[in-house]
Amino acid sequence: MKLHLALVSLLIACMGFGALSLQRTDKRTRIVARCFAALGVVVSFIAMCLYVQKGDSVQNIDTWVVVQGVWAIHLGLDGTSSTLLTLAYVIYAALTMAAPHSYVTRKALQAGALTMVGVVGVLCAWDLVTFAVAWFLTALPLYLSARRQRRTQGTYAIGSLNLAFWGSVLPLIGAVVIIAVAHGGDGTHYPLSLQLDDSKPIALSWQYVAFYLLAVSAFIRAAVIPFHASLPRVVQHGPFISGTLLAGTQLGLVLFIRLGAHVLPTASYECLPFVGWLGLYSTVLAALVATAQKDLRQIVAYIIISQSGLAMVGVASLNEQGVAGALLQSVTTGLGAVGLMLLSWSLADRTATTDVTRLGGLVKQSPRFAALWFTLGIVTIGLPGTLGFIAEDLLVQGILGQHPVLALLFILATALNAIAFLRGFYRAFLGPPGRVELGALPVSVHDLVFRERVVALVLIALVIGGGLYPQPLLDHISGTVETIVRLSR
Amino acid sequence: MLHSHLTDVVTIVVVLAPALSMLAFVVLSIVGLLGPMPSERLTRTITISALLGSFVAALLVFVTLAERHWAPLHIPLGIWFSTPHYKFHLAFHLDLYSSTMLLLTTVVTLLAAKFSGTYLHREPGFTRFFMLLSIFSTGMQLLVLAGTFDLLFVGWELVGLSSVLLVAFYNDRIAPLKASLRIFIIYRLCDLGLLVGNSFLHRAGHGPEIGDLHAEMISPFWATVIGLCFLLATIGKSAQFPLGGWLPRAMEGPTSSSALFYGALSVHAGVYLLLRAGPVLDRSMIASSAIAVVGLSTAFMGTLCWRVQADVKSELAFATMTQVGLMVAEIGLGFRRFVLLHLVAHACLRTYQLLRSPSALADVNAIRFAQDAVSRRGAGPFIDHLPKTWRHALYRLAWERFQLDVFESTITAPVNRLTQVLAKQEERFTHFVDDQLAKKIQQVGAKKDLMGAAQSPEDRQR
Repeated sequence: MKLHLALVSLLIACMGFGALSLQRTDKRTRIVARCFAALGVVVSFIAMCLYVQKGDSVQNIDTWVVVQGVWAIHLGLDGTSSTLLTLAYVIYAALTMAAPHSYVTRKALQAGALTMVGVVGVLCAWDLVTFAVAWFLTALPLYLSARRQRRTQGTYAIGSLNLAFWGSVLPLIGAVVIIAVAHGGDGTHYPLSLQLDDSKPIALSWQYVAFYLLAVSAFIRAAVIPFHASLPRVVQHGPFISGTLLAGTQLGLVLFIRLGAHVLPTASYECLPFVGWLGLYSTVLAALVATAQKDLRQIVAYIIISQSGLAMVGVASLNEQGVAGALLQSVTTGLGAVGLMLLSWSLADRTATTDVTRLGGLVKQSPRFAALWFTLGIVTIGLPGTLGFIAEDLLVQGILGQHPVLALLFILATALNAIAFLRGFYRAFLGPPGRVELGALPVSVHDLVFRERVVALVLIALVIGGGLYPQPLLDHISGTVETIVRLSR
Repeated sequence: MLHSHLTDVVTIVVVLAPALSMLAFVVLSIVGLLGPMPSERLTRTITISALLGSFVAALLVFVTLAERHWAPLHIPLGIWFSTPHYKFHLAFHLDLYSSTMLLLTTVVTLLAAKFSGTYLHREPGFTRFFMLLSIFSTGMQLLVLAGTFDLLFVGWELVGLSSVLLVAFYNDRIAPLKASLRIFIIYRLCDLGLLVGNSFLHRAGHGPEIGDLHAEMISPFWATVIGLCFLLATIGKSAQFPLGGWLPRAMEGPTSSSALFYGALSVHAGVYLLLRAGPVLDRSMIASSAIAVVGLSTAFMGTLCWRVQADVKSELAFATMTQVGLMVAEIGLGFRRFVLLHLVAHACLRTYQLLRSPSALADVNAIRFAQDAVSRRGAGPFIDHLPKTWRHALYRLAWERFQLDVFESTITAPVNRLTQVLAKQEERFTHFVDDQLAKKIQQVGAKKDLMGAAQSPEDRQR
C-alpha cells in the first residue's frame, strides 16, 4: 500500500501555511502552528522509519504529468531527504514551541510556515521545476522581510537579505533553464526529471556553466564565505523563524547532492575540489572570526558558517567517510546550532542584548539557562558520545588520508570553534556581574520556562541519542553517500 | 567453556565500572534539570554509591587478572558505528597497566569524593562538583580500559572537559575563568595530536587496537609521525615543557579536584598514552628521543621552579611536573615497566599532599608564629654548591617560570591580533553589503526614475 508520505508532508506544510494565514491573533496563530509542526514531525518520522534502504532509490513517489513527455511533477523521498525532512520539522516545531512570544508574532509565523513549505518542497521534489519553485519559496520570506524593513525604515538597510534572495534564486533558475534546454536538445524523455532512472547527464560544456550557477546558489544558502553576509544579519536581527529554519536545514548541500550528482556528474567531479577549498577557507576564517566576536548571536552565526564549510569539505572529499561525515555534520548543526540560536534569542528577549561585554554572572540568576546553553554548545562542537563527534571523526578519517594539510586546518578550525564558544559562555554566563555604570545590565534575568527547557532537552537528547546509536542514520544516508562517491569512479 | 564463562563475567564487571559513574551523572542531571537541585545528602549518596560500585568492580578485575598472572584479556564490545571502509571498534583491554590504573582511578576518585562531601559542604555548586566528578570518573576509566586508541580518545576528551570545568568551579571570580580558558585552549590544540596520530595509526598499521598494534607493520616514518603526534597530546595533557605553564594556574579549582586531576590522574593521562603507544615508539628513535628530551626538560624546569614558589599548591604543581617529566623521560628511554610503579607511587603521594595542603599551611603558620622563627631552606645540595652567578641565574629563571607565559603569548598574541583584524574586515564587509551596495542600487534606481521623468511623453510612449 502506497502511503504518499512525501505528498502528505508537503500537504501538511501547505495546509499549515493556509491555516496560519487565516488566523487573526498571535495566540491562535501560535497554537495552530504548533499543531501543524507536531503533525509534521510525526509524519516525517514515520516516513523516515518506513524508508527501506535500497541503494539510492527514491520511494513513496507521486507523479503528475503536466506536459506529456516534457514535464511531470515528481514528489518522493530518499534516505537523506527523509532524514532532513524530519530534521526540518523538528526545527520548526522547536521554534514554534520555544521561541519567545515577542518574536513569534502572527506575521513571523506565517513567514516561517511559507519557508517551511519551501523547505519541504525542496526536500521532496524530484523534478527541476518543482525544486526551483520550492527554492524560491524558501527565500521569499527573506525578501519580503527586506521590503518590509525598507518601508518601515525608508532605506535599503538590509542589502544582504536582498542579495541572499536574488543571489540564491536567479542562478538556480539560470541553471534549470540551461539543463532543460540542454536536455531538450538531446531529445531526453522528461528532461526535467531528477530521478536516477530518468535523469541523464547533459552535454559537458553546459555542465560547467550550470554547475557554477548552482554553486553560487548553494554557497549563498549555505553561507559559505564570501557569500555569507546574510547569515550573521539574520541571526542578529531576524527574521527569526524563517532565518533559523534556513540556517538549520543546510539546503545548499541538498542542492549539490540533488542536482549536481544526478545531472552534472562530470562537472561535479571536476569542480568539487574547488568547492572543498572554498569550504575549508570558509571554515577556518569563520572560526577565527568567531573567536573575536563579542555578541553571543554572532558567535553562533560564525560557528554555523564554519560548520557549513566543514560539510562542504566533506562532500568534496568524494569518499565514504567524508561524505557521511558531512551529512551527519549537517544534522548536528541543524539540531545543536538551532538550539543555541533559540536560547540566544530567548536571552535577547529577556535582556535586550546578547553583547557579552554587558552580560556576566547570569548563572546565578538563571542556572538552567546556563547549563542548557553550555550543553547545547558542547554537543554541537563534538563532545564524545554525540552526533557531532561521529561526524567529525568520519570527516577526519575521510580527509586526512587524502589531504593531510587540509585535514589539519579543518581540525584546527573545530578547535577554534570550541574556544570561541567557551569564551562566549564564560563571559556571558559566568564571572562577576558587570558594573551597571559601565553599561552592564541592571535587570534581573529569569530562568528558562518549562517549554524552553523541554525543547532544549529534546534537542540535546536527539544529538546525544544520534551519537550513541548512529548506525540507523548512517544506513539511511548510505545511498546518497554511494551516489556522490560514484562520481569519482 | 570455563574460560568463556569467566570472560563473560569479567566483561559484565568491567563494563559496570564506567557505567555506574555515568549513571550517577545522568541521574543527578535529570533530577537537577527537571526539578529543584538535589540535596547535598542525596548528591553524596548517589555519587559515592556509584564510585563504590566502580571500585568493587575494579578490585574484582584486578584480582582476576592477578590470578591469570596478568595475561592480557581483550574484550570486544562491538562496533559503535561503521561505514563500508571504516569501523569504530569498542573494546576493553585488560592487562597489568589497565587493571592497575583502573584500581588507582577508582580508589582515588572515591577518596576525593568522600573528602569533598565535607570540604565543599554548603558551597554553591556542590551538586555541580559531583556531576563533574562523575563525568571525570567515567572518562578516566574509559581512558585506562580502552582497547583501541579511538575509545581512548573518547575518555581523553571527557577527562579534559571535566577538568576545565572544575578549574572554573569558583566562577564568580575572573582568575579561575581565565585559567580554565587557558587550559581549554592548550588541551584543544594539543588534542589534535592524539586525533591525528590515531588517524595515521588507522592508515599506517592494522588499526588502532591497543595490545595488538602490529607495530612491526608500521614503517619507521609513520612510527615517527605517530609518536610525535602522541607527544604533542602528552605535552598538553601532562603539562610538559614548553606548554606546561597552565598547571600551577589549574590550582584555582577546589583542592579535592586539584588533587584528583593534577596530582593523581588527569596529569598522568599523557604518560599512560605513551605507555600504550610503546610498541610504536620502539620503531622510531627520533620519537623516543624527542620524548626523552621533553621529559628531561620538563623535569629540569619543574625542579627549579618548585623551589622558588611562594605558595604550597604552586610548589606541589611544579613538583608534580617534575615527576611527570621524569616518567615521560623514562618512557622515552624504554623503562616502561618502571613507569607504572613510579606513576602509582607518585599519584598516591601527591594526592595526599594536595589534600593536606590547606591544613599544612595553617600548621606551618601556627608553628612559625609560636616559634617566632623564620626557617631558611636551602635550594638543594647540588644547587647550593654552584657558583653564585649561576645560582642567581637559575633562581631568576625559576622565578620567571622559564618565561613559559611569554612563549605561550608569542603564539597566542599574533593569533589574537589576526582574529581582531579579521573580525574588523568582516564588519566592514557586512556593512558594505548591507548599506553601501544597497545605496548604490537605490541610487541607480533613482537615476532611472529621473531619466524617465526627463523624457517627453512622446519619447516615453515610443
